Order: sequence, then structure tokens, then C-alpha cells
Amino acid sequence: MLFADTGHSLVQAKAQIDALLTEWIPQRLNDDPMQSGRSEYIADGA
Amino acid sequence: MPGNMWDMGPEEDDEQDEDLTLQLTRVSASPTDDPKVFKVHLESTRGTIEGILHPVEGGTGAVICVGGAMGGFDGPADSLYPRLAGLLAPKGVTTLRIEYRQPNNFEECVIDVMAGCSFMQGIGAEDLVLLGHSFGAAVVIKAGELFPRVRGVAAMSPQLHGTRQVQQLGRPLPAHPRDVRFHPRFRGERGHLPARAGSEADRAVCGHGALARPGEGAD
Repeated sequence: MLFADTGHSLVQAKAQIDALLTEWIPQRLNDDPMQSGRSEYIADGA
Repeated sequence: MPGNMWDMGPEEDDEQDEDLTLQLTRVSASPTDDPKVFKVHLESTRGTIEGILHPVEGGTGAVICVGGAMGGFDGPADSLYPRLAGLLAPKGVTTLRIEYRQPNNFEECVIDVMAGCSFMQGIGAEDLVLLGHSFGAAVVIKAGELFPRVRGVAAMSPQLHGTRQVQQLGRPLPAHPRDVRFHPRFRGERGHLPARAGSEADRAVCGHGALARPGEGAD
């Protein structure tokens, strides 16, 4: 995932990273879909 | 040094078939300034792995965080890892931040993460997510392939080297495997650790939550 206007800098994107991981990690642990509506690519055979 | 982030050449060497083993021999904890956070010391047959544990009582999900080739507990993005631990605790997620025994040694760092996984499983974690940055992103991709309870891997600005087998992360995962018990000793084979990679990292971006283009944004 790339964030616009962050110049590939994780520091500049830290607010987005915080928000994404705070949502994604619990959802992944619970095997739940992302509430924000982001979708995940599922590899073949998964 | 084979396996480090700058060595992009073939990884054939005389030790390729040597088994890598690690056994946790003793685990201890010590307090920090924050009463909710502990330093943990995972003593093993390959040396002591230091960690910082942010436990959540009653939670069964956990995330393990590792840094880049220089190691460290705090991660990129202005100390993401301690900040993330505070954000995840209210959601019932325990965080373990690991310092490598031998930073920039890919195989040893993979073993460190797997030891962390075993430790977390031993204290009750049923599901795990791994989070790594740059060199550490490749480390968690490999560890995620090898440890059954890993539900997801987040690779931030992953280096290319060491991500060849990222497609293995797409394997079907049972919701709650019953056939995995706490097993502080595990084995890996050098020959099964990944060699140089190219487009595999792109699949990590698509499938497992990488946060920036591979090889870029390593801050």
C-alpha cells in the first residue's frame, strides 16, 4: 500500500500507518474483514 | 555475510545443509518504568533474545515487531512500535518488540522471531501477526511462512532479498489449529531459507500489507 504525498517516507505517513495497523492487525487476528472498507488481495490457493 | 541486506549474490555455501536449531532454556522478565510493560529475556541455546512485552490480560492475539538491519526496539516512523503497542492494547492485542541477537544476519534473525513466536504461544497467544521494517520485513515474511499460528505479516518498506517464498504466506490457515502445542524447540534448515528475490516482494505488498514500495522509504 502506498500513501499519496508522503514521498515514500514512513515518517511522513506515520499517522496513516498508525491508523491502518491499528485496524488491520486486530481484524487479521480475528479473521474479520476491514471495517474501513479496504480490501485485501488474496493469493491463489489461499 | 550471507543473508544480510547488502549481499544480493547467490547464497550457496558450505553450510547450506546445516540445520539451525534453537531451544529456549529460560525465560525471565524485569520491570520497566511503565508498570504495564516488561523487559523479557529469552535465554536460548543460541544466546539471549531481548524483548519488550506489552501484555494484555485475557487477550489471545499478539503482534511481534522487529526492526531493520540495525535492529532496535522502536521501529521506523518515529518509533512506531511502542506507539502501536499503546494503540493495540485497548483492542486486546499484546505486543512483543524483539531485538535481534545478531542484527543483519538473516537466518539468525528469523530464528529470533520464531523464538518470539514460541514464547508468545507459550504464554497463551493463539494467533499472531508479524510486523517488520526493511530487512526485518524480509525476516517476518520468512518467519511467517514457517510458524503455523501467524495470521498475517505486515512488511514495511521490505528489502527484496529474502522474500522469495512470500507466496507461501498465502497458504490456507485453519482458524484455530488444535495440533500445534507449545514447542520451545524448533528446527529450520539453511537450505529452506530464502535466496535472492525480485518480484516476490511485490506480492508481499499486495497480499500482506506492506506499507511502502519495496526498497524505498526506509526511515
